[in-house]
Amino acid sequence: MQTRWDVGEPHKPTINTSTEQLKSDLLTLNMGPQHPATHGVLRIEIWTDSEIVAHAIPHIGYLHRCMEKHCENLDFRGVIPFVDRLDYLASMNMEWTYAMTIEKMLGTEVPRRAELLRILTCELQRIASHLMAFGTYAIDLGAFSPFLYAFDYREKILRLFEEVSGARLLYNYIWIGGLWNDWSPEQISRVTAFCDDMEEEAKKYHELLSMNKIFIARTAHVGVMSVQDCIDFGATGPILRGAGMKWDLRKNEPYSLYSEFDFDVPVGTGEVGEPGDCWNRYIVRMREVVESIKIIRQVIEKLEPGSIMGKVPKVMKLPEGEVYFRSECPRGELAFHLVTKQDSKEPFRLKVRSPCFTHTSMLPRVAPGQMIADFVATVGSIDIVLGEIDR
Amino acid sequence: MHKELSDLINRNVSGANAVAYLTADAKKFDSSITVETSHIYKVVEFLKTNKTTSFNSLHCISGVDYTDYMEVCYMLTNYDPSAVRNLTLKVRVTDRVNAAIDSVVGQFVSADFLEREVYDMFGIKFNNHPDMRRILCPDDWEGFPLRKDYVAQKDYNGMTVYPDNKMNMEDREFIVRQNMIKKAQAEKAQ
Amino acid sequence: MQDGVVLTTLDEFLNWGRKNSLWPMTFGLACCAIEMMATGAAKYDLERFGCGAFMATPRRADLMIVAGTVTLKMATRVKVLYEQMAEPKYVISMGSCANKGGPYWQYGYHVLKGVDEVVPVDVYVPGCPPRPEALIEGVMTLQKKIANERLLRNKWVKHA
Repeated sequence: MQTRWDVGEPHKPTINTSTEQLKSDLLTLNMGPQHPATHGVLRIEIWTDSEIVAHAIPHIGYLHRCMEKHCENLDFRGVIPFVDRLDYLASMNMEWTYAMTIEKMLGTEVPRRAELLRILTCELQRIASHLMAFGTYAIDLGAFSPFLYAFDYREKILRLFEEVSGARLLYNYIWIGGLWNDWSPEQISRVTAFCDDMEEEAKKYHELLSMNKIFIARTAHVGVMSVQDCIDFGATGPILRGAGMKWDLRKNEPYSLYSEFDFDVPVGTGEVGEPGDCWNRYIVRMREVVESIKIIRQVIEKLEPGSIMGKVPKVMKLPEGEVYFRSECPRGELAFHLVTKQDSKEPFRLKVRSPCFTHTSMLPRVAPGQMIADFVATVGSIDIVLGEIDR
Repeated sequence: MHKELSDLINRNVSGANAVAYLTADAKKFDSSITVETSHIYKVVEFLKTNKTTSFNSLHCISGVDYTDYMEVCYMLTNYDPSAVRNLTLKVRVTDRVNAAIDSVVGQFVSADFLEREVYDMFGIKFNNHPDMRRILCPDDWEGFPLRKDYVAQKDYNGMTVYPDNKMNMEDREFIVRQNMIKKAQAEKAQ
Repeated sequence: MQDGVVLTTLDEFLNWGRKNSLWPMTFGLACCAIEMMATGAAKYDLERFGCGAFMATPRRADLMIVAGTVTLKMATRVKVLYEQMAEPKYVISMGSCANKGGPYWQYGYHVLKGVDEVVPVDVYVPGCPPRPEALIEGVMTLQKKIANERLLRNKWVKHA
C-alpha cells in the first residue's frame, strides 16, 4: 500500500506562467527551536506548498554543550557524569557503554553479580525510556492521558533508582569495574512486584493507545522508512526493527551476559499499516518493554550474592591504543570511539556515535510529500533526545 | 582479517597504499587500515560494492587531532545477521590550514551529517559534499573546537563566553593551582 | 452564602489573581526539562499550585522556566522568546546550567554562563537536575514575590 499522500518526488509548486501576478511560491516555516513537538531544541526548516511539506532541513546544535572537549580534559572516572547527560532519558545505558569501553581497554573482569545488576538496571532504564517515548508521542498526536499513565509508572522505576543510586535522573551509578552500590534483597523483591504490575499495565497501554482508531489513522502508513533507507543512513534500534529487520546487538553481537538470556527481538510486521511506518516503530518500543521485563525476571532468578566491584587500579592509566565499542541503547546503537595515549590519565579523544544524530539526518528523506501534521508524527516517532544529538 | 583486507584493497584499487595496523592485543584494542588520503572514495566504493567484503553501512566518522597530523576514521559495518563485520578505515590529513579530503556521500548517505560534524569540529573540508556548512556551532563561529590548539573566542554576538565576574574565588584559586601543578610537571619533564 | 462586601487593596487583589494563575511556557532545553515534565505530570502535579497550564506559545505565557543548558546559539532565541511574552512576566532559572553554566563551565566554549546574561531572572533553583520538589519550591518562592508586588512601582507601569 502507498502512503496516504504519496506524491513521489519532492513536491514542486505549480507556477502559472501566463499571468505574472499569480505566482505560487514555497512557504518557509520554522519549526523550533522552541516547539512542543520537537522534544527539545531541534529546529526544522520546512518548505511547504500549502499543507504539504516539500522539503525539510534539520538544524541542530542548539544544545551543543562541548561534552567531547570536556572529556579530553577529565580523568577516566570523571567522564561518567558527563556521559550521563548525553541521553538523559537513558543515563544508565550511557554509563554502562562507557564503562564497558574502558573495561575492554583495561581488561577488567567484572564480577558476575555486578554484570547481572547492570543488566537489571539498564533494562529497567529501557522500560522507563520507552514509557517516556510512549507518553510524549501521545502528546504530540493530541492525546494527553497516556502521558499521565506513563509518567506514573516511570516514577516507580525512578523511585527504585533513587533508592539505589541517590538520584532521580542522572545517576553516576555504574562505575568502571562495577557498581557504586548494591541492591538489597528487599529492593529486588520490589523489582519483581514492579515487573508483575508493569506487565498488566503494558496490556492496558495497548487498549489505551495502540489500537485506538484515531491513533492508527494518524500513524499507520505515515513516514515510511524502508530497510534499505535505514541501512543507507545507518539507522539502528527501533527504527531499523520497525522497518522489519531483526537486528539487535544484544542478539547479533552479544556483549556482557546477554547471550545467556532468552528473549525475542520484536520487529514491525505490519499488522497495522506497513513495516517502517510510525505505528510499527511505536509498537516495537511497546513490545520491547515486555521483552525487557522477561530479561529482568531471568536476571533475578540468576542473582547470587557476591562482590559488585572488580579490581581496577586506583590511578587509572590506560595503555596507548584505540577502541570502538558499540551497544544497544533504547534509541539505537550507541558507540564510543576512544583514543588514549600512553600513561595519560584522560582520554585523548572520545567520540560519541549517537543514534539520534543519524536518525535526524533521515528526516529530509521522509519529509517530502507529507502533510505537516504527519511530519510532526514522524518526528515524534523517531524519539529524539537532543542532548545526545548535539552533545 | 585486516591483513587480508588490506592486501585485497591494494590489489583492486591501484595507488590505495593500504597499510594494516595490527594491535598486539586484539581482545583489548581495535586494529585498523590506513589508506592514501586521495583514494578514500575509491576504497570506500570498493569495500561497499565488492561481494567478499560488502560493508553496507557507514556507522560513524570520527576525527582525531594528533597535533602534527589529523586523522579521519570511518567506521564501516555490515548489517548481516550471520556474521557481523566491523572495520576502522583511516586517512591522514597533514595540512592544517587547507585541510580537505574527498567526501563519501556518493556511497553512503549517512556521511552527510557525519562529515559536516567533522568539518565543524576539525576544519577538514570535504570535497563534493552537497552542503558543507557547520552543523553544531553557529555559522559565524571562529575556529575549530576539537583541535588541540583551539582557544575559545572571548565573546560571541555580544555575549561574553567566560564572564570574569561569574567565577567563584574557589574556582579561580583551583585553576591557578592547577596551572602551577602543570607548570611544575612540565619543568620536571624537561 | 450571603452577599457581602470584601474590602481589599487593588494591589492585593491583582497579586492574588496573578500568583494563582501563573501560566508557564512549554520550553524545555535539556535534562531539567524532563524533571519539569515530571513536575507537571501525575505524581507531583504542579497544577495544585495554580501553575500547571503549560502554554505552547510565549504570547500566552507569563512564566518562563529556563530548564537546561543555554548555549550561545540558543541564547539569542531565549531572549526573543522572553521579549515575546506579555507583561507582567517572570523567569525561573532551573538547574545549575541555567544558573551559571553548571558542569559545563570550564571548557564550555559554546555554553552561556548563566541565563541572567540575557534575561532578568526572578528565582534560581539549584540542582543538577533539581528534583520536582525543588522546582515546586521555586514556584512558591516566585508566588511569594508576586504577592508583595506594588502596581504603581512596577517598571512596566512606570514606562507605560
